[in-house]
Amino acid sequence: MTSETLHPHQLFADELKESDRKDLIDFSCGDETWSRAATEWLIGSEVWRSIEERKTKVWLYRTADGQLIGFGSLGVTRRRWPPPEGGYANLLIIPMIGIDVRYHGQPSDKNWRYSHQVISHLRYESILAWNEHVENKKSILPLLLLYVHRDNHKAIRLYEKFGFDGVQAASNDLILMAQKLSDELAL
Amino acid sequence: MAKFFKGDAVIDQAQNNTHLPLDVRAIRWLLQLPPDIRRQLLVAITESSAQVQEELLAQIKVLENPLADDSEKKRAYGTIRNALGLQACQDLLELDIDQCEIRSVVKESGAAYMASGSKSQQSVFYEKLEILLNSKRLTQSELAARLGMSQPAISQMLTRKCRPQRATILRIAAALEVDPQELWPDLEVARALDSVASVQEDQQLTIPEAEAIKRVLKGKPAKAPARPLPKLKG
Repeated sequence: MTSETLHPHQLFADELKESDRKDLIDFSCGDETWSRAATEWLIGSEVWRSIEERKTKVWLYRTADGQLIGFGSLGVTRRRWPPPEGGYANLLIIPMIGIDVRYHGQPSDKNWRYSHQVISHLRYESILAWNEHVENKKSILPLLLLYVHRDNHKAIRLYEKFGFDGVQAASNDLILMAQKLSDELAL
Repeated sequence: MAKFFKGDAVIDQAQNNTHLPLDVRAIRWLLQLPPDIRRQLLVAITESSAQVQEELLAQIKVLENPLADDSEKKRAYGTIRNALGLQACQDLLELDIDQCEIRSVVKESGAAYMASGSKSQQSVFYEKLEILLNSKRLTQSELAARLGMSQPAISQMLTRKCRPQRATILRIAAALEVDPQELWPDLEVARALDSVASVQEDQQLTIPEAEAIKRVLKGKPAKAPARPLPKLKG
């Protein structure tokens, strides 16, 4: 794809590197509790702990001119399946996701809404990761999970739009949302 | 500075005023204030004489100093109130320093977080812990003993290798006899980060979670866009 054919609101995804730290100085997801937690997760040490200990992948999303719009992550967690006696099965999880507060609800064209591009990209990466696990004969459920604060209604609506079902109010005010992954990419 | 305090033209203006040497501590304190009060205060300061400005900024440094005790801070608030009272400025009539004091002391979590600018709360925690250990003349080993932790665990924390859990922050605060928010301004965020870390750990599903996941697995795959994104860098 050449720069001439790019849509002006096209996002680019690059995996987070140490050298990106300087770009995070000005990053803020907003003032709500979950927004502050997302910001702190990215600019503190939690993101690096998750990458090192849980093999989480983290992407920074930027516009063509390099403006940082947000971040997304994809990792693996394990739960006994079938519960309670089954062995541990891998499950794909989005540990944290955030859009800089200056870009919430932007652009107005929903086909290019930044949050939509980010979720769509994470779904794409999760399908790739699931297929990779299957090829390597690792025990994995065809699921993508995330946890969301129960009062974060905008995010819940967005996740529902992208195929997640809210399945249970978990502890600490979080709702577990899950979706079944398809082995085919719905491009 | 605009990079850190975007949208606050008054602060930019203050920064450009060579007669108003706002240092990091003063800016941090000002940012803790509600925006309306902050603006009024900045306008008042910029319109004051150089002598009054100097005194006000000295008092702000006292307020931002983590080692200042309550009586020192109270005196500083009183001095600011009196200094601004000397200015014949109508705006100041609406300036409620007492309200600032209450809000500042309470350290409302969101405001306190914003006050730390883009700096992570984790780095603020380490800085404050080091300052407190120095001021109380405590060694890492002595703190570890008070906490029932090992000295290497404290050392690791101080070398910024790991984020302290909320419970650890509370224990350290109790051991140092300080308000936990002095160490970590936004305890709600600490709790949220604990939750995020927890859900990534291996664990049992609760019965309702397991039932719900069974339902999702029996259903059809989600039909929603799943698109790659190009890379911007290399």
